Amino acid sequence: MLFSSLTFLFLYLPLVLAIYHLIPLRARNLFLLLANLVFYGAGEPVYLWIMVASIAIDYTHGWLIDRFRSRDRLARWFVAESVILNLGLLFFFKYWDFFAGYLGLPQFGLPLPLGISFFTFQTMSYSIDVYRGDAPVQRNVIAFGTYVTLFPQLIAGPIVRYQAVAHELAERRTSLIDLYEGVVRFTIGLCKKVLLANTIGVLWETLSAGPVTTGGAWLGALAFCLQLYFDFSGYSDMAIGLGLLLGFHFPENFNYPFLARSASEFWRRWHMTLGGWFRSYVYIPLGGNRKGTARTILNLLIVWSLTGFWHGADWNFLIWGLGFGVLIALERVWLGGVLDRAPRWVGHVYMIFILLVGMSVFALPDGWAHWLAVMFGKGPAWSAATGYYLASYLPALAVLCVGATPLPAWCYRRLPPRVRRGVTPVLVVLGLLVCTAYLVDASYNPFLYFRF
Amino acid sequence: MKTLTKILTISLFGAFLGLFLALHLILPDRDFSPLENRVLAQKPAFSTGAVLDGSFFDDLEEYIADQFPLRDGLMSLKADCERLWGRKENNGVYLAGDRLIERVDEPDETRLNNNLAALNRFKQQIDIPAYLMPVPTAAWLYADELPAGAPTADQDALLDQIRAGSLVGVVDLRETLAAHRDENLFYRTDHHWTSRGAYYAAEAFLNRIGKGGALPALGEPTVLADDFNGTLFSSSGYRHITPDTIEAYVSGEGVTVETWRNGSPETIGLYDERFLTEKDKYSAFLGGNTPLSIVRTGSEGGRLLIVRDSFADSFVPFLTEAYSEIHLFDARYYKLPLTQYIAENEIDAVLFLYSLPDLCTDPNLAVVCK
Repeated sequence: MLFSSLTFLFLYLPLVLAIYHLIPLRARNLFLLLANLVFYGAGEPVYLWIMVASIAIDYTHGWLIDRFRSRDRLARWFVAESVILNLGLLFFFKYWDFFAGYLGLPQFGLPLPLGISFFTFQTMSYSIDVYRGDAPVQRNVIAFGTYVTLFPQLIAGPIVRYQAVAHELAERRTSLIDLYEGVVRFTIGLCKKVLLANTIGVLWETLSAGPVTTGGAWLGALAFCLQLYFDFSGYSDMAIGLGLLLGFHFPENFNYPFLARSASEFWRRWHMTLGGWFRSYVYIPLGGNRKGTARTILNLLIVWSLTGFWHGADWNFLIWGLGFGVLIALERVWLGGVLDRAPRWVGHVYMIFILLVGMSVFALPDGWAHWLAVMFGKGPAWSAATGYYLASYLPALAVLCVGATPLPAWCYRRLPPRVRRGVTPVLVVLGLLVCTAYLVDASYNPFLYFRF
Repeated sequence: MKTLTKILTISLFGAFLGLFLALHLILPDRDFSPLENRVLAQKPAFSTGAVLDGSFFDDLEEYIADQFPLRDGLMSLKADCERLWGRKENNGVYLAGDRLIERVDEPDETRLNNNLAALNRFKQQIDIPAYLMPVPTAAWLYADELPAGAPTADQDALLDQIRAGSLVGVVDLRETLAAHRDENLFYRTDHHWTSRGAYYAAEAFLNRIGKGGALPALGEPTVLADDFNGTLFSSSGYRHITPDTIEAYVSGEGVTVETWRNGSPETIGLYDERFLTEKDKYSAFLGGNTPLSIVRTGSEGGRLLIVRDSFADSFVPFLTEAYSEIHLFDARYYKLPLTQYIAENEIDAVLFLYSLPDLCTDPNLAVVCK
């Protein structure tokens, strides 16, 4: 089920929220677990067993790790087993066909279980955190199952590490302020997704499908960058908002990534929970930056290749990730200093250029090389159709570009409190109404990060 | 005060979601949307199989969307928002001043070539005259009114290709339509030609076959309806366009139409006025799309078979003095081989009348030409 589907908004969500807040506190985890399974089952009924297996595997391993804590070798063994099982699940569904294709082994062509890249990473964090003593073991299988399957962030993040919600799994209250912020946050996310991402997504779909000019290729790259940001950050906003409505406080996932003036800064602002995950569980265990420059660079390249490959089993994702790794390594040894000394706009131009080129590689697993060739001068520069699309989407592009900066939030905060209080409920209802109109008449409503 | 705002916002959110759910449950489901002119999805049947293969929730989403409370109003709200965005296009319809124009995309060449090949094979099997009239659409005639640079198929190139590749004689309407383009030859809210557009096409056709004398005079028309909101009005969601007027230039006196809508014949006149009170007013011409209709004119002139799409409906009235019988054959709903139909009904001439986009995409023409 998509958050931006009518079934979710007007059937699932009102029923789940109403029941959840009417039943006693102690029954909420069980109800939520069932509701989560319905949510997942609506999209992927045949893969419900993966959810059940995930809960069983990670619950037992957490317990075993805790039980044999005093015998470190055994505990380490259970951590390794848990990681292998989780990665094995991910590898089988996401990467097997890719490797099998090169090794001449049979390919299965199975559809990717929804959100598998997200929930396997979450459950791995549980075993590791328990071993490290960063999180207490969860003895209540219902509470644990609720964490593994938690519907707001189950299929597209943010990747919530177990320690972040361990406390709230046992005890959570929904305060008035949480509910209010949840409502506002969810509505903002829905608007970002339905009104902004989908609108500009049509431009990207059109431009990437047809014959393309150099101008069209840059326009398309811009459209795709904006679509990806509004789609994914909108989804994260909705997830965080839904979390608040249920009493959970999820970590932030985006912090105005297009303001970044270097690749390393970009990744501190973009999909922050994924970056944090790789940092805690790969980069730092590898030695991070504590083992000399050469080793640091190697660690960076490893982490960013994995980050790229996490996004999909194809060369373009690997190249995209590795490209960021190379840039970040370069920035660390030399380029970063240059950018720091240069005027601020140099950093912005540098980063926007990287993003337009980089996201084109990301967007087109098959056609990226051709697309880049067109961007850099192959074929006609401009056409009447390119002009039509630019003119037709110019207001939307302007709104999205401004929307990607902190300006709207800044303006809102600058409103006199009285005005802000009056305007907020009106905006929420208006936003919901317009989103509903777009969904009722929708033809185009994908979720980009569902592929991952 | 602050608390009040919070409570108000939360309540409005809950009320919004709950209200539509409640309205949906209370309001009866509709079978058909006259505004959109299509059958609406109904409540999907629950079964374990449908849940497991995922079709249940897909159907449920479609059902909720189709039966959504205030659906018509919400669609119109979306179109208005798109206009606010500065977009000149919604759901495949261009907004060109006070006119809606259906977007025509460059078609897949294989289908057109297949259709032409099928027509050519058909031509070799018959010994009566055959004609092909591909109708360029408003996107061609009013191309200069489209939003600047708007992508649109090159209908000139397609028509040239058809002329070059067809053994069936092609009636090329470009010259005559272009000469009269200021006379409103296409509806502003519908993809069909107006009666006036059809008149000039009939003139070109009758001149071509040497029956120019049988063309009725273009007198003062009867207004059948002045509040026609057509297919483009429906699909685009644009609600601010002035409704169209449907005109009739031929009285239709003494003409009967035997229409085979569902297996048994029904006799109506040239105009089926029942449709004038409905949304789908264009269907007043001959009663709209049916598998087969036989027009008996009371004139002399032999039997014409028109293999057609809906453009033929408003075209036929102008042929009523040129033929004694006009058989309208819709290959979408009637799959009899044409050679058989021609032999059984002693047909004297065949006209293939299709709008150009339909000719380029219709998969049924090749079936009946076998």
